Amino acid sequence: MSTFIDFSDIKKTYKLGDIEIHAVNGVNFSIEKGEFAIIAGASGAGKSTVLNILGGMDTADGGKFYVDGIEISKFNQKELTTYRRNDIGFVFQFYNLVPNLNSLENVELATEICKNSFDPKIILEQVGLSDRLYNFPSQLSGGEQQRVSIARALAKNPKLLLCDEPTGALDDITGKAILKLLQDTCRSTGMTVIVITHNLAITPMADKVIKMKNGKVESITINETPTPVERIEW
Amino acid sequence: MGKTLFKDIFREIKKSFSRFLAILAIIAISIAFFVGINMTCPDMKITADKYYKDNKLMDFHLVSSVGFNKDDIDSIKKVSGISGIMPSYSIDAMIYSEDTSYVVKVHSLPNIINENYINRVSLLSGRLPEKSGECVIEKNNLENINLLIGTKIKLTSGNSSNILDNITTNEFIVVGIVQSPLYISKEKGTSAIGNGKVSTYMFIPESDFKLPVYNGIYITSSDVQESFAFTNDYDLKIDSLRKSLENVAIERSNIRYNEIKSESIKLLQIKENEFKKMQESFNASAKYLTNDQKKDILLNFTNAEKVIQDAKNEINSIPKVIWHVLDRNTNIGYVDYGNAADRMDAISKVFPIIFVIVAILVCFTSIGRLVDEQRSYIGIMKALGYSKRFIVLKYLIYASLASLTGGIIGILIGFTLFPSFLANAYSALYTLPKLILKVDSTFAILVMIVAVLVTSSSAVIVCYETLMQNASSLMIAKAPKPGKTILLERIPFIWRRLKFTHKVTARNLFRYKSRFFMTVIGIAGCSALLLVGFALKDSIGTIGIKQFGEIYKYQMTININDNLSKDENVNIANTISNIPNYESKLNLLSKSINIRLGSKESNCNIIVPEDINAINSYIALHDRVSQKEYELTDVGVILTEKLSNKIGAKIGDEIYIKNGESEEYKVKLIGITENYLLHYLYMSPSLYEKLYKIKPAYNQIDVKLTNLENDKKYSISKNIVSSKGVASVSFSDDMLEKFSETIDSVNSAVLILIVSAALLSFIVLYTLTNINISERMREIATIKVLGFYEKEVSNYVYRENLILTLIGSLFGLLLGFYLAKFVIITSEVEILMFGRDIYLISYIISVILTLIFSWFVNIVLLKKIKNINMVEALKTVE
Ligand SMILES: Nc1ncnc2c1ncn2[C@@H]1O[C@H](COP(=O)(O)OP(=O)(O)OP(=O)(O)O)[C@@H](O)[C@H]1O
Ligand SMILES: [Mg+2]
Repeated sequence: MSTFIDFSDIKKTYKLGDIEIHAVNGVNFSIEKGEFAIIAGASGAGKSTVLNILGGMDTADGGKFYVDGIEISKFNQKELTTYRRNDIGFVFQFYNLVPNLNSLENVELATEICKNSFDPKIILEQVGLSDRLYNFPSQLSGGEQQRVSIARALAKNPKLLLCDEPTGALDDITGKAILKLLQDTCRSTGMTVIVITHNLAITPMADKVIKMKNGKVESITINETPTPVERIEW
Repeated sequence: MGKTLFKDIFREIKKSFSRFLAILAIIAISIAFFVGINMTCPDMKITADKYYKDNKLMDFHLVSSVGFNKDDIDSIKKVSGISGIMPSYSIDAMIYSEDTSYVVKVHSLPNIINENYINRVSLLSGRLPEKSGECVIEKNNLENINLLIGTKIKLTSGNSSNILDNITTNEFIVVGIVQSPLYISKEKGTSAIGNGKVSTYMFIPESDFKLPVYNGIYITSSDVQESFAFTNDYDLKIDSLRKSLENVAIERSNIRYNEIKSESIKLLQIKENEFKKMQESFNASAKYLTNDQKKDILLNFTNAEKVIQDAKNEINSIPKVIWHVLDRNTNIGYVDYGNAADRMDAISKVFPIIFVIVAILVCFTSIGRLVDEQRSYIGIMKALGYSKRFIVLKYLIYASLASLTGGIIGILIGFTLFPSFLANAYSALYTLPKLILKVDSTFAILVMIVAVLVTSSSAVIVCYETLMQNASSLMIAKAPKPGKTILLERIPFIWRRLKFTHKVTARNLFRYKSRFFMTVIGIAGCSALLLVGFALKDSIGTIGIKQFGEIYKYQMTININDNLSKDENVNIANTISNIPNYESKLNLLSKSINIRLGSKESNCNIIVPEDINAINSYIALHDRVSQKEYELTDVGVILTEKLSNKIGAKIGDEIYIKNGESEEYKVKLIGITENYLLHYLYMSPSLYEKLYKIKPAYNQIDVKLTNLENDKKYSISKNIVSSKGVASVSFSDDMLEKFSETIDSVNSAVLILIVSAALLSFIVLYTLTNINISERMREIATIKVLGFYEKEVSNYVYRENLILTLIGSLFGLLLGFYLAKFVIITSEVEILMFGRDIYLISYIISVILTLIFSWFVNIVLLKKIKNINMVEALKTVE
């Protein structure tokens, strides 16, 4: 497998008055294509910041990173938008569905603008929502909303699926189901998936676990034999 | 506690300064507009009144067909209620420059300054005349001729008479530039010479006139020293002096008539006596004369007899002496200016309403949003045990502060900038001192109270709803409005065809109903204002073209004196038919009459054409709406539109024509014809003869010319005026030009409307779009994350605005249509009917401008969308 994502010495500093907060302070890691990676660490460790930079939502103050051989860190805003549009799928802790659109339309919102998108209905079927196509977010449970949100990310057929605590707002069983969905997608489509979690118990399911602490990578563990989600207990 | 509250409020203002500013601005603009437009009319009138008082404008102007002699003046002086009396001379003369000529009104300037010096001139530069041959003139901007201090002016009579019969010298040197209160309007009235239009005026020493009698007497009344010009109070108080003067007029005109008659009789008797003596001496010496000599002398005698007989006839036909008691309402400047001010007042009745509605709207939405944002704060305050009243206080003070500051700014602008600007519109037409800006403090305070009440009560109302919820539910963030299937989706035929993004827009439109209505109302107000502005322009701007181009199809009007001899008439007719480009002419009778229906009476001109079959090719008699032509028959009369409205007559009604005080003729109304200027009644000659028992005496000739060239006009009119019996000549396109000038004043009113419409739409759209963006921060961040380009993101948000703007402007056109109708009718002056058509282009421009305004708001808010930070926006919990 080839190196798909290459982070070298990425830094992000916030200035609050005189104080500088090094949210990300020289992060190095690489992820292979088709890998299912988990970024874990304590609150405030800088996980979200790394993911946002990787996803082109935020920019780094220092360092370089490559995705699929292209240096993203030197992209301007417009190029970053194109990058997000075609290459990235995002899943958030709080779903971020458009309240005024039903499930199908929320997915269509994403597919409308990109070239190689999948049929929204089929994707929604795959995430198990074939009978909730026309429901609005307010009519769906948290788990269902997260499925719509995943469907929206997947439907774009991105190279990279980034999930920031996708199960944070869900109960365990639902959370497991969501993780399974992500893992299955990774396995079946060969999509690279990166998931942020607080929950260290689920790290065995990943191919690679990146642990962060105080804006730095504490350790990188490679799992030769990841455990399917069903068999993980927490 | 109070201190923290204020600190909190100030922090709140700082935090959302644009919102505070929006409330402040809408209040400021509404008030500025309201106050400004309401003060313009009084300011204009006060300015004129002060000028008139300072310069002692006459209250009455007496004119007489034979002038005034010393006895006349002495008997007028005896009338009580007179504060000043100034007999004066004036003549019309011509000034020539290379190829053009102008009619100048030459007035006498009294040499003593006392209470009797009326219509005082203001010296602008130079000095007043000190000796014969010096003059002061108006500050001129005549074409082709530059009259400055030091210029020599040569006056000529403009007709066959010699001007030196009337003045001692005809060469004057300009020694000063003045302004006379008699002429505040550019329009200075008509003249019997030249092109019939007085172009300028000048004053020369009284002693330079050598007329046997004064030809005018100016009088000021002591009853109206405290009254304001243009008011009812003035009109009422002036009446008693008018009555006294009218009595003197009747008395003195009879005396003068008898004097003239007995004078002529005396002269005649002298001549007769001479003749008798000659006859006697002839009889005595006849025997010494040869037959041939006798024959010659006898022939001379018959000639002399004839002369005497003619003189006798003339004595019998000496015209009655007529005195006119004219008041300020015959002064063009006074009337026009008063009308202009009243027109402003009419506008002031309508527009502020739109602003008040929008101001309320903006306050409600802005404060509503503020309270929404502060739900959890309110919840905490409640939980901490603060009373509702105390919590409301914050928003109340916030709103009051905004409206108070806005109000003060608005009042400052309203009392100063607005009236100056609006009145400035008229500065091209009227010469007056700088506008006096009156500050009506009760009015100001009243307006402020209303503004603060409106904003603070909207704050309380908005707060109230939130405050009713309990603390715990307040502390949970308000869930975003859930999506819902909208009606349009139930029409799959349309829904399926919509592009995805359009579906989203449609949903959003229906999702936020209150925003929908507010935007639509605000934008409608904007378009309506624009349409009213353009409609005003359409209707007033086209009067001239309609009246003198479409209704009057002739090119020239000649007024001739009554009772001309047959020879004179033939002579005039010949002169006319010799004009190059002459096509045809129509003789008409035109005179002033009163008509009545029920208790409603009106003055108008009766027009009797000699040839009823020709009338329609000179004056189009037709219905305005259907354009259906009327035939003038013996069955009845045709009235002009405004006149018939004025007395409330419909076709088929019987109306009364007054002849003198006692007599009335009943006639049937057979048509109501389109007409914009003055009031007319059209009647066939045979009906006229039947009613009045005399044949109509034609005193006006309408002439059609093909291809009238501008530079020929003068020679044509000069030629005609020189024929005996011709009173004046005027050209239709000169009248048209006069009307074009009034358009200028309308233009600036239109400009005001456009500017205020722009401000209005800006504030409304800014407020609502701003709120819209704030409320949908998360949604916008989400689509940004999904990879929407900037343009796509702004379209996503703005497409709604566009649609709302379109819907709003359509409503606005409807609203504007009715508003324009109202404004046009209320701002009409008595003798004018404004056009009733609004041109298609005006509708189109109104919509386009509205779109441009809203596009501008979008540009301004684009930055806000651009600056939405995806990471930040999505970090917060819903
Ligand atoms: N806009 C900001 N301004 C200042 N500091 C920030 C900002 N965003 C993040 N930080 C700081 O950067 C650090 C890393 O934040 P980040 O959100 O990446 O943490 P995280 O690992 O995702 O934490 P959590 O698990 O709680 O989500 C934190 O200390 C945070 O306070
Ligand atoms: Mg995080």
